[in-house]
Amino acid sequence: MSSTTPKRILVAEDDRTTARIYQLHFRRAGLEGHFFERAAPAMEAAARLAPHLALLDYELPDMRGLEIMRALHAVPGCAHTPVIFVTGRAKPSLIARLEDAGAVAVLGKPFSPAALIRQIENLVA
Amino acid sequence: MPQAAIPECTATQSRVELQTTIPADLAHLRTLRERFEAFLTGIDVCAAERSTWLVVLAELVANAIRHGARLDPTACIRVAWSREPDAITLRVGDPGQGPPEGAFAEAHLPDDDAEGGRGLYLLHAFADEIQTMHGTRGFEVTVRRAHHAPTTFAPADDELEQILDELSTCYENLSAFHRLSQSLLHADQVEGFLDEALRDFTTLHPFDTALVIGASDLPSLLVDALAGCEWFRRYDDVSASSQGLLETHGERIWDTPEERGDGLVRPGARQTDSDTLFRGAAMPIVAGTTTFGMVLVGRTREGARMRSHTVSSLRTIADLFGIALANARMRHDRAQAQKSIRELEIAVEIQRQLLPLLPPPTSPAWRVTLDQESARGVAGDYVIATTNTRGDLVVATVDVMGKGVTAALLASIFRTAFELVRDVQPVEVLMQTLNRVLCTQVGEMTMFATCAVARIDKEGHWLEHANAGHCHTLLFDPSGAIRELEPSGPPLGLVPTMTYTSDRVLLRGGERIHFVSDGCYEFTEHGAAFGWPKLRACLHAHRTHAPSDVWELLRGRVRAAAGQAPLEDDCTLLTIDVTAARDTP
Repeated sequence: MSSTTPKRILVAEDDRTTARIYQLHFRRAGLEGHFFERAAPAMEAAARLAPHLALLDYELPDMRGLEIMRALHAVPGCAHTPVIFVTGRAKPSLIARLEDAGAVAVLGKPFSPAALIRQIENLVA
Repeated sequence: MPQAAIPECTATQSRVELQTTIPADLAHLRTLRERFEAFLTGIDVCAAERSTWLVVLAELVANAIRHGARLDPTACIRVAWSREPDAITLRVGDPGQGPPEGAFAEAHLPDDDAEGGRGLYLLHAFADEIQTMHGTRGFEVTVRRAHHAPTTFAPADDELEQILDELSTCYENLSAFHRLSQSLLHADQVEGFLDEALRDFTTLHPFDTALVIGASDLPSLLVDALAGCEWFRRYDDVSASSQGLLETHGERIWDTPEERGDGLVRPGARQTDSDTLFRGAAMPIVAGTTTFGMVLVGRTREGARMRSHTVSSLRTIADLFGIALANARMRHDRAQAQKSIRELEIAVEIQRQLLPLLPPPTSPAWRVTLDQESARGVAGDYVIATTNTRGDLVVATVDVMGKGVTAALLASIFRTAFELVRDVQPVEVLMQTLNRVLCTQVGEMTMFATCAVARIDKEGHWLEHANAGHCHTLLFDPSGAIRELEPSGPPLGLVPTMTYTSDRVLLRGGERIHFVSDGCYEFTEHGAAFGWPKLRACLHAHRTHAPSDVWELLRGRVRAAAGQAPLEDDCTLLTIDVTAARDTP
C-alpha cells in the first residue's frame, strides 16, 4: 500500500463496538476511517471525502440493504467506489444477491478483522 | 460600532450550544455569522449545508432586526443555536409581535417579480421543522434540521486497547470456527478439510513453516489418509525436538530458540522442522483424551512476534483438527462395525441355506445324536453324520477358524468336499483328500479348520477315526474304560501335503463315542477354567444316560457359566451309541 496518503475508508456502522474494532485495525494498517452511524450523513460525507472504499453495515437505522449501496453509487464521484457489506445474516443467497448487485465482498459477523484488513488492502492498493 | 461580544459555545456530552443577544443592528450580523460558521464547521457540517445555514441565519436575524425590532439599536435580538445528537437547532427572537399567525405555515416559490417570500421558501425547503412563538417577550422562530455527525472516538488508553485486542481475537476465532466448521460438516475426506483449514490459516498468518506432525500412535488409517499431504510429517520423520514437543502434550509458543528449549536436540544432528524455527508455536491436536499430533508453525528468521490473536487462531485450528481426525476415525470404525454386522448376517443366511443341521441316519447298529448351540447366532462348528454308498456311517466334526462370511464359505466348501469323498477309504486318506481340497480353495489366505472324521461300518463292528487338530474324541466301552483318540496332524487347510494316520477300533457293542468342540470345555466356571479333565469326567459319569440328558447337563453348565453374557464359542456334541450285544466279526 502507498505510504504517502492514507486510503480513506467510509464506514457506515451503527454498532459502536464494531466501529471501535474497525478503528483499531484501520489505525494499525494505516487506513483513514470515517465513521457514521446513519446512512444519510455517510452519503453526504461521501461526496466530500471521495472514499477509496466503503464498508457498510447491511442494516442501518435509516436505510438497509442494497439501498445503501445504490445511494452511495449515486453520489457524484462515488459511482465506482468498492463496497464491502458486513451483515449478521450472511446466508449464501444474500451474499450472492449483494455480489451480483455490485458489492465486492460480503462478510458475515463475526468477521475476521485480519481478513477484513487484508481484503481492504487488496482492494485499495 | 463595536461588534457584539458573542460568548463561546458551551458543550456537554450531547449538546453544543450557544445563547446570546445582540443589539438590533445589522452591523453585528457579520460577527454572528462568523461564529455560527465556526460552530457548524466544528461539528463537521459539510460546506453546502453550512452555506445554507448561514443564509437562514442571515434571513432570520435580518428580519428580526428590521421587522421585530424596527431597526432600533437599543432593542435586543436573541439568538441561540445548538447541536443535539440528531439535529441542529437555530432560534432567533425579537421584541416584536411577529407576522400574523400562520405566516410561517407554508411557503410557495414567489413569482420572479415578487419583492419577498424567497427567504421563507428557502427556509421551508431546508428545515425539517419550523416553530414560531408569539409571547410576552416578542416573537421567536425556531428552525430545526436533522444532522448526524460522524462518529468520533475518544483516544484509547492502554487498557481499552487491550480490551479491543482481546475482542478482536475472539472475533478471529469465532470467524475461523464458523468458517471452518461449515467445511468440516461438508468435507468427504479428512485430508481435504485439514488442507483447506491450514491454507485458510496461513493466508491470514503467513509463516515459513506450517506442518501437522502425527503422534507416534496415530492410527494407520489416518496416517495413510494424510501421507500424501505436503504439510504432513510422520512422527518418525521429524526431529527429536519436535518429537519432544509432541510428547509434552501441551502447547509451546516461543519468540527465540532459547524459549523453545533445545534440550532434546542431539548435538550435530541435522536440524529440521521445529529446530529451524526462530519463532514458532506448537499446538497439540486433541480430541477428548486422544492426542493425534500437533500443528507446528513458525518463522525461520526474526520478524513479527507471535501475536496473541495468531496463537488463539492456531488453537482454534488445532481444536478443529482434533474433531476432524476423531470423526474420521469414528466413521471408519463405524463402517467396519457395520461391515462386520453385515458379514455375520450373510454368514447366518449362508449357514441357514447351505449348512443346515440335518437329521442323522438311523441304523440298527448304531444311534447318532447331534446337538449344537451356536454362539452369537452363527456357528463356526459344523457336524455332519451321513452314510456312504456302502451303508457305513461317516461322521465329521469341524471347527472352522473365525466367524463371518469367510468361515461360512469355508464350511460350505468342506461340506461339499466331504460329500464327494465320503466313500474314500481308509479314513486317513479321506482326511488327506479333504485337506488337499481345502488347501487349494484357501490359497494364500490363513484359514483352517480342525476336524475329526470317523467311519463305522454298517454292521457296527469297526470304528476308523482320524483327527486333524481337533479336540480328542472320547470312546467309552461298556466297562467304563475311556480311550481318547488324538489328532495325528495339524488342522486342515495349512499344509497341502500333510499325511494323517488313523485309529482302528474293534467294537463289541455298547460303546459310546463322543465328538466335541472346544466350546464344550473352554469356559470359566466359578472363576476357574472348566477344562478338558472336567468334561471327560462329566461325560464319563453320565455315559449311561440318554444323549439328550447328557447334552442338557453339559449345555446347562456352559450356559450357567456364561450367565447373562452371550456364549463365547459354539458348543457341539456328536454322540454315537453302538448297539450292544451283537455278533462280532
